[in-house]
Amino acid sequence: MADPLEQLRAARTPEAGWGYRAGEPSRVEPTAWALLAFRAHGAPVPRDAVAALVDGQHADGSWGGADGPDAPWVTAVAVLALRALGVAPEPCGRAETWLLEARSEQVVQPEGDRPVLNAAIVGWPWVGGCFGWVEPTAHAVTALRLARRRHPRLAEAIRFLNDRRCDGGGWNHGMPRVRDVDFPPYPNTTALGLIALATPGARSKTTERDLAVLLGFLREPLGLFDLAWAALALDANGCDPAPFLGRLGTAERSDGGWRENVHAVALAALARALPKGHNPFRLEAA
Amino acid sequence: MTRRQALRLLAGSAAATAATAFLRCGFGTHGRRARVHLLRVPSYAALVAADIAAAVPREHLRRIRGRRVLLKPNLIEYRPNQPIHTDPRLVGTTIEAFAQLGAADVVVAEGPGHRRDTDYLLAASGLRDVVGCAGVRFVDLNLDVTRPEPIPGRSLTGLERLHLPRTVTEADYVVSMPKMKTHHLVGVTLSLKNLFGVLPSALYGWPKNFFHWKGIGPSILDVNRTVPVDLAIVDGVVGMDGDGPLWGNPVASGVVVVGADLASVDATCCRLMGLRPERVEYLVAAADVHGSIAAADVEIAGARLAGLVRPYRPPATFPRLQAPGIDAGTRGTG
Repeated sequence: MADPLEQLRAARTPEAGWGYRAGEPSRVEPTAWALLAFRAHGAPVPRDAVAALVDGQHADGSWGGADGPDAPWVTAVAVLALRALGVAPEPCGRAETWLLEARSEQVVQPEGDRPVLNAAIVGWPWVGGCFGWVEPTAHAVTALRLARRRHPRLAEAIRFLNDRRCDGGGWNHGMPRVRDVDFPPYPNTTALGLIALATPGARSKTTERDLAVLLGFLREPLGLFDLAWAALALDANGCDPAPFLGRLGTAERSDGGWRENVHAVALAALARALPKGHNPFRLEAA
Repeated sequence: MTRRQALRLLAGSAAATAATAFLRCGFGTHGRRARVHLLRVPSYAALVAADIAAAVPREHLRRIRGRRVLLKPNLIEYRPNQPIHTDPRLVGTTIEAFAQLGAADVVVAEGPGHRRDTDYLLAASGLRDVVGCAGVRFVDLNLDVTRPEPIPGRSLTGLERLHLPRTVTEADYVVSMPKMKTHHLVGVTLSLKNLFGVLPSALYGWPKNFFHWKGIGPSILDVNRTVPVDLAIVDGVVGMDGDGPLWGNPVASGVVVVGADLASVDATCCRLMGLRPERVEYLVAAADVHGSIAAADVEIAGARLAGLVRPYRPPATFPRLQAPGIDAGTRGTG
């Protein structure tokens, strides 16, 4: 198998990190996942890219926002990557404190509608001043759990994810139903929910159902992004990621890379390292 | 001054009026006649590129020849056998039409609202094959490099600027290509609402919830004043009624609607759907900038409107949208 890291090296932006497409200005998400991919494969992690990521942090501990190229939801992504790399403990601490203080807005359920969700439970939004959604909440929960944080806010966010689960298992973007219509789950949000709630050495019936939903997506023509997250989620829950890894293999170019955006390539490279025992999102038993 | 510059200027000066109209919800007209072209297309197999090219206003041709054209279809979501998205066959035929008109480069671009795996949406919907066969690029607007663009005039959302994808701001000619659908939150989703898809989700979140908090109607108006769209091509070959934009039922309308004044195009679509445009709040407010919604101000070219009306069931949240004398329960075959 060719080295997918070559594709990431070639895609890097001159000033340090990675954009969503090769050579574009740095963004937090593709940079974070690319750095983790280098570490997972035992390759030297570009120090200047790590430094650039840390430099992007605001004084309040967050990343993104303030008219920059990213939104505040990437704070959880940045701290997740830096913690997994084992660097920048002080910036990570400030970021985690910022996360614990950030809250999504509550919604008012229209009178007479069938209850859609428990609006009193608050997660994390993509952008400040908005409703909470599954992906930013799952990233924040994973980051805080990996950092071994214990906080009522984290417990509330775990309740949030359980509340937003679709009726048949799995998660979509965060709206299990609208009025009387059940919305179906999606692959990447189901994977992220499974990673965020993974419990080492134990799987509940609910988790088994979520995993079955995830495996059901194998029937769909998933892209790299979904395939990679699905493999990482299976592994984080102690399951064999082979079905999704096999699909990643069939999507390869002849040189071992993939025709996709940088963040998806980085996630696929991360998934490719699973057989080596590296999963930065896997919570080990305390 | 180009039409795009003029549109921006008009948008700025009309913003306050639009805001007032949004509140009073009057009958939108700005006194200028618009032209909307109707193509009778009984099935996607019957699409003809030359027909679409011929429906493009003649005065636009010099702005297309040798220039970069961006086609923005609706790919908010995909579900098998559900007419949620603009049909890739219409996108493919439109690519061919703009090649016939001499465009130097055609790009298909969209920022899907729900699922982040755009590659899946392209594969499942068939759009990947279409752009691949045509040899044109697809750009995921959710992840594009962005630049801040000031909202002309008085902002209705309270935002000073919108961060817009570079692919959109650098296009010479922008075409909104929506699906003809009802919408449970705003009544209908057509060429104006389709512009939500240019707002990058990496910055505003999936499903663009930031703009729901700012108000969907005001957001539609602000994004349309900030992104000057040159043309609308509406996929009404098979539309969606009832609980749109995701859970409604297919309606074989057999029509493609083309025009440069987006509010006029959308109002005409409403009439084709047997719905009342003057009951769509954002459409009334948009009329000050994007063309009159009054039937008397809209010249219909091509096929006759009356022969293409197919009653759409309005969403349960908008029961008063249905035009008098129209019964979607007795939808005819035309």
